[in-house]
Amino acid sequence: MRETLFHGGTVIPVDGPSQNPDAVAVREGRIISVGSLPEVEESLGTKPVRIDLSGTFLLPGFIDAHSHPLWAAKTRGAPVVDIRAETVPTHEAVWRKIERRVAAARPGEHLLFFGLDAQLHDGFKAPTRERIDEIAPDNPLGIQTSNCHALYLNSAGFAVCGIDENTETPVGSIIERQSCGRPSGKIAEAITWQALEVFYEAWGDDRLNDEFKATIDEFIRQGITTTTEHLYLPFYKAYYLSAIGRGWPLPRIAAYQQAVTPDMQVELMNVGDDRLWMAGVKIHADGSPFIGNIWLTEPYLENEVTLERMDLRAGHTGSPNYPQVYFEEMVRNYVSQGWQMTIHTQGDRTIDMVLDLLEEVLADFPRPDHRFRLEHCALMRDDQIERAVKLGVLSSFFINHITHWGAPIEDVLFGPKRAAHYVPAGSAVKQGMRISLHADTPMTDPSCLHLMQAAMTRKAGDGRCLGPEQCLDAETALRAVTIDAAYQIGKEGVLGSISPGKHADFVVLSENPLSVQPDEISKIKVLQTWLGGERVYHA
Amino acid sequence: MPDQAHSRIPIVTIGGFLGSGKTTLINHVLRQTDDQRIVVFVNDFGAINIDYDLIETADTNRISLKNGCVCCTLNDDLISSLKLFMDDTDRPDAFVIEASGIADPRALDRSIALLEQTGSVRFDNRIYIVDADQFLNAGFEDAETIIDHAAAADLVLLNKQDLAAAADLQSLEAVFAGSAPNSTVLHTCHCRCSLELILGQRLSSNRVFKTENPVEPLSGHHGFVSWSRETKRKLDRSKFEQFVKYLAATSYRAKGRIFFQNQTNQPRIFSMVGRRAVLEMARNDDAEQISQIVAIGKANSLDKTRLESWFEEMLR
Repeated sequence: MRETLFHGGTVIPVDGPSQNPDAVAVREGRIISVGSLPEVEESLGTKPVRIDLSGTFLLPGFIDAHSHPLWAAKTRGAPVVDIRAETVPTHEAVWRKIERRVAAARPGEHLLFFGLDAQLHDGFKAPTRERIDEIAPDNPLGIQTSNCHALYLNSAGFAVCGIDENTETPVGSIIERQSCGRPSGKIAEAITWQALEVFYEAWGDDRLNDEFKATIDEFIRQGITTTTEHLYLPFYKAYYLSAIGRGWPLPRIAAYQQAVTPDMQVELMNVGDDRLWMAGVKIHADGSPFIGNIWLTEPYLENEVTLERMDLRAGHTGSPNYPQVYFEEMVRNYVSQGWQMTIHTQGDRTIDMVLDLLEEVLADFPRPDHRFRLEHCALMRDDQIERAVKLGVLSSFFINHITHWGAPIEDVLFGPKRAAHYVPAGSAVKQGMRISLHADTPMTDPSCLHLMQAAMTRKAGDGRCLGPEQCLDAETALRAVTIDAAYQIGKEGVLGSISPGKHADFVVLSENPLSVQPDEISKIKVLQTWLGGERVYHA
Repeated sequence: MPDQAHSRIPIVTIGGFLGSGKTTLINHVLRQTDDQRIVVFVNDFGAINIDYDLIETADTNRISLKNGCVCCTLNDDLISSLKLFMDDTDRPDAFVIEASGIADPRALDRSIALLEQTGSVRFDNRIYIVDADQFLNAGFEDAETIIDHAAAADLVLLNKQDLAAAADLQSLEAVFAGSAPNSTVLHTCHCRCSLELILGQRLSSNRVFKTENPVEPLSGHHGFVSWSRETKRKLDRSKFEQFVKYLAATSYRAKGRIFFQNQTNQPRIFSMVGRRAVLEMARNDDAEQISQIVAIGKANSLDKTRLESWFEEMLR
């Protein structure tokens, strides 16, 4: 019988009855006791493996409640070229990099670039099909925006994706067109991700497996032992089973299948002992604030960025992704199958629409403990939080919007008042909601310590604080990446805290995140990661 | 521009691929700084060639010099080593940190940016060295890595220019102008360049700056010139900030001691590198309360006439 005893450090159980425990016992991958060293030793046989924490800190493994590990490997791994503003500083420099890549390309090679950013790339000008054709007349070429929601293609790119003037725009997608109906370069929302699959497929499985392994390792190195695959598609399963089969240290994965029509098969999946399971369905009610695809009660600000770079009309308030009737049909269909719904909502008008619908659906089919989730929640208002709490609807906040795009959110997109209430995690907690935080990898890099720091300081890249009254305290921020995140994926019984009976998923940290200065949290080192009682990472 | 409560120790980082010239630059800095205490962190002692008569003591991880100290970061945690020096009674005038030739210097930038938030150090200058002779032989991946790293630097040294053909240098210049537009690019041999570009200018309380000859070439180096002015008039804070915007557009580095209106008689020390500028509180060691500004820029972009008129504008 495999037994392990952790001692010699500080145990932060996060939840449960234990008062200041200093030891934890593990048997066959589960926690069997938590308490003082003599108590815990009593629960074990005579020869457990003893792990001396040497004054460091043992916490439950982190949980990022909304992520896309496999999709991240597809989206950002080589041969995709990184052009995010943190790497390539200006729009002009982006074009130079694309030109150099095209010059080095093999005939017919599929080329993809990730990270074009209307807000962060100085001198941004939306690429047209003609402009990309000039640079790359022969190679299929796509330029994806940093928010993942839009893609600019050249003619060869449109050809390989099978999108032309005769292509009907699918419900929930956007194809920008010239007056004759010919696609003019930009596509957005669901069709983007379908088009990208053509590129990924052209590169083959070997590439994807290498990148997937690298992404998995990054999550584990950050101490993340559970996350989700939002936008799961049925063919992902083979890659996941292969990862498990090869013994890769895959974090536990709650899959949320992407719904784009009301009649999709959602597989009842449950692999291993809480290793990979179908947790629910993900639907996009709206899109990304950074390309104008969210639905608002008050319009965007009007300035060079919104009117010129983003090409929005004055007074732009956006729209939902799907016609309301179609959206309602999807939601009703998957709710009636019993799935947990996770709905991408950014604009406040979208949230009104979604809450109206969920209220009706829940009146028609009352369901205790449904744990329906709203994802990201950029511009959620206080009255909506109050309504959500009454309905039992939960928010998962994409807090890194503040750290990565805080300045443009305040200065050019929404103004100071809405910026101070952007991703309002503080309000939600005050009204009693169990929230979670997420990095939405590949949009931002996985790190729950960074999420905690972002939620506690709300500091943008330039150091300004967006809405100090929305800052979380350390305990709440830690719960939002452990036990409360476990609650949101329906696994609080087996994950998210150091409690007897739960999986032995741990992270060992160099400092205590509950006591260091909020600005210092992301500096804490992840020393070890344990998954199901096995050490899968050691610094 | 944030105001700081006290003067912080500037940090200069030096990045570049293996063999680009990082160690050469560090040796060059150590030989020239006889009146400042510089603490240098390097990856490998073996490559550092320190003049024997400079060395006071040496052990496994540290060589103490008359003008500072060289530490090996291979075995130590850089951040905690820095902290030890900050608490020292004999505080250094500057830290110089060599980034590993393999690692991404932007990772080092992030650690230092975090350290900067503690308020005891100031991220001063990020230097990246490119081997001008080898760059065009690099494959696509390596070349792009070099370009990405250079784009994140304040100062890019196109080193070994003597080994590269003139036409190659020109195309290199074009690559960095287009892809590292926020960085100042400088051609060097053996990383020789003015110490003032690397560590910054020194302000002296006895005011060496000559107002009658405001632009002077920087000891014959690379078409960089310096400009300086002083005034007894107290400056208006918002006009000064506007002036700094102009300054940033024409010069690479600037430093000053500034007395503002409506503030105590305590001067502020102003430092600017590339696009970053800060003001820090300073001791008042100047009874006459004369504000000084000195700037360094490329001869073809530092426009003396315009700087003069902007300066006059600020005084109005």
